[in-house]
Amino acid sequence: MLGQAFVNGLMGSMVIILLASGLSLIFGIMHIINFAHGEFFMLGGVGVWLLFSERLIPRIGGSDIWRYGVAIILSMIAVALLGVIVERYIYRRSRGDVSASIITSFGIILILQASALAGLGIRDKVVSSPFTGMINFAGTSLPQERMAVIIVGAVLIGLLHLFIQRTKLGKTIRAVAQDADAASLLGVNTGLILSLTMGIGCALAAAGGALIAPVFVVNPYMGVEPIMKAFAVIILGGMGSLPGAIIGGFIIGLTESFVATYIGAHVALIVVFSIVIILLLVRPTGIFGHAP
Amino acid sequence: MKKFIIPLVTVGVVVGVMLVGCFGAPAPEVAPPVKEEVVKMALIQPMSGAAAPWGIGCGRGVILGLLMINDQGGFKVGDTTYTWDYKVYDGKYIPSETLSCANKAVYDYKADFITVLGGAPSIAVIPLMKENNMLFVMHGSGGLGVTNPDNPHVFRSGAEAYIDFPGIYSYFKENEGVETIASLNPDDETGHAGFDGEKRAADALGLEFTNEFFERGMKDFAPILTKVMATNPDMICTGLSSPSSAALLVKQSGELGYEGIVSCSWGPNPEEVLEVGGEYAEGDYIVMSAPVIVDDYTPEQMNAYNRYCEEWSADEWDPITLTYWQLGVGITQAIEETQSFDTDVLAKHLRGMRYETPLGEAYYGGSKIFGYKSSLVMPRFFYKIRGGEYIFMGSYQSPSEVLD
Repeated sequence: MLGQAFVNGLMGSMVIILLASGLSLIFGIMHIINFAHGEFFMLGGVGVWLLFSERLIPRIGGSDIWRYGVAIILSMIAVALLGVIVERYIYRRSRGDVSASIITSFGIILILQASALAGLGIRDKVVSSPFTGMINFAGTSLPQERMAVIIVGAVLIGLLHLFIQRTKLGKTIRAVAQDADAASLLGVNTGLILSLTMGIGCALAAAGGALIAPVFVVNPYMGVEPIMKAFAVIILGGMGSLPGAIIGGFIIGLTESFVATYIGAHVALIVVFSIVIILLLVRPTGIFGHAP
Repeated sequence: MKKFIIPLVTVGVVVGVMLVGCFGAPAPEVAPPVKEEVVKMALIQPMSGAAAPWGIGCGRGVILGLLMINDQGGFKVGDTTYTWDYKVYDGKYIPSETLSCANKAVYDYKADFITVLGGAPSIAVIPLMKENNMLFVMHGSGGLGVTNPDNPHVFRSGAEAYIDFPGIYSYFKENEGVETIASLNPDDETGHAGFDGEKRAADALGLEFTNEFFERGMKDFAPILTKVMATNPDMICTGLSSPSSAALLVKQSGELGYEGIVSCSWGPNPEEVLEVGGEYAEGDYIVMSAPVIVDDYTPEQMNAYNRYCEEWSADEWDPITLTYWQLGVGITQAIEETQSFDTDVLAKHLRGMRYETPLGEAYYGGSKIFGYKSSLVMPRFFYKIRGGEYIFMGSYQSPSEVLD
């Protein structure tokens, strides 16, 4: 049961980390909390359903895995572009005004959910996974579709880390995060960086939704529960900290799994949020956060 | 003289015609004016949020019944013909939101009847119904919190765990040799009522029973299924989970290697169970409050199905529509038979009334459990999944001696 609880928690952790990383990136650069982040997650799932399950990408050859991969990438690109548009024409206008940015993000939530409900209809949509079967070892079962979420999620997080740390563009993003005015004086197009950051953050959210779509179901409200946990993660890990999002994601995902397995699901979230509160009492800025 | 002849003749003809008109042939009969009025039903359903598929499906069932009554010209009380008007409010399955909608329904829309989906939302609305002396026919569970002797004008139209699980568990004990059951229920009023009803039924039948609660809207059941499967039950029952949760439970229990029966006992969506469950649904059950195979429908069931397709679409057909179809029909029959809209009169009549539905005869029972006859009793339909299809295994109704 111990091994099964650990394996169950890994997938949940990876999804939260993908969401929280994007959220953290957006907050770190733009200093806004994108409450609509869960809806970009949902759009990633919708994109995969449209492109893969509804066969907008034709099937060539015997394997569906490449089609699924292309569907994920295209969904990420499409949602990233939407994120760029939202940042450029909506969030940027309310930058610096906390109340306005909160209200606009709630408005975006309602618009995206209602649009998805109108487009998808009332029934949940099912995405058949190209990964079938299970891996069994030492009494632990791991469905292949869940393993795909863990592996692909880890790869994406790794790529994000490399991008931020090792590329020129990543360094530029970090410079803008440290001091946008100074970066601007040095010739950095901060507007472009903001849009790019929003696009990357939304792409990560979309990846989470696209990967989880075959495991669960796709519906307009599928982003509501994960985003709640993602917020807990970025608070726990430290606002704007990517390592914090990763560590926080594992803490919350694994804790929830173990508590649900050994005590009960109805207390899992109570325990998780209690841990967050206790940790914040000890370290108010989060594990990797810094005082303003 | 000659110049007066023509005017005199003209006047004479006119007077003559008038006299004939007044005292000649009898006047034709004029039909008395037809009195037509509208009766208003407010439906408060979850139209958004996690419970939306359930809310929209059930709501359409109620509306379908009202539409079919209107199609037949409505119903008569005295000289007045009544037709139904309805308005749908989005209660979001949240008690406070539902109460807000109910206030609008009562004071703005001036509803004559209100129906609410869900146990917890219904409990929030009951005081308002009492204050306005309104007959309240809800659909959903909620157990004794909803229907009890303090609420004599409250009725439950639709499935109820206390009423239905004796029959459901009897079927599995007799036909599948089930001795141990693990159930999973959402952690709210409906889920707790489900747990109470299931436990009561299991205890009465001598079955070993355990239960786990989960947050409604949860999608990843692997952790609690891991816990449940460690006890190796003969059957996992999805309790009063929503249709999408039930389908995910089928899939995820199979992924974790569970080899017993999974029974989606409470209003699952059969197509969703097959689609989501896939190969893991083989050998599992769906227990429906209405038959699911359209090709096997009776003429009455097909009438309702065709009318649904006219109003919405065949793609969106949900068999539980037939379960909730009868809510408005039952109220209409009670009004027609009593020729009254009085709440006390209607409530008393509903308790003794039996009426025909497309699913067979329905009646309000459950006095042994709720203190008065308040919960609709109808048959349940059992389907086993084999080869990617659901095979009808039989219908079962909880024995009346258990209920009344």
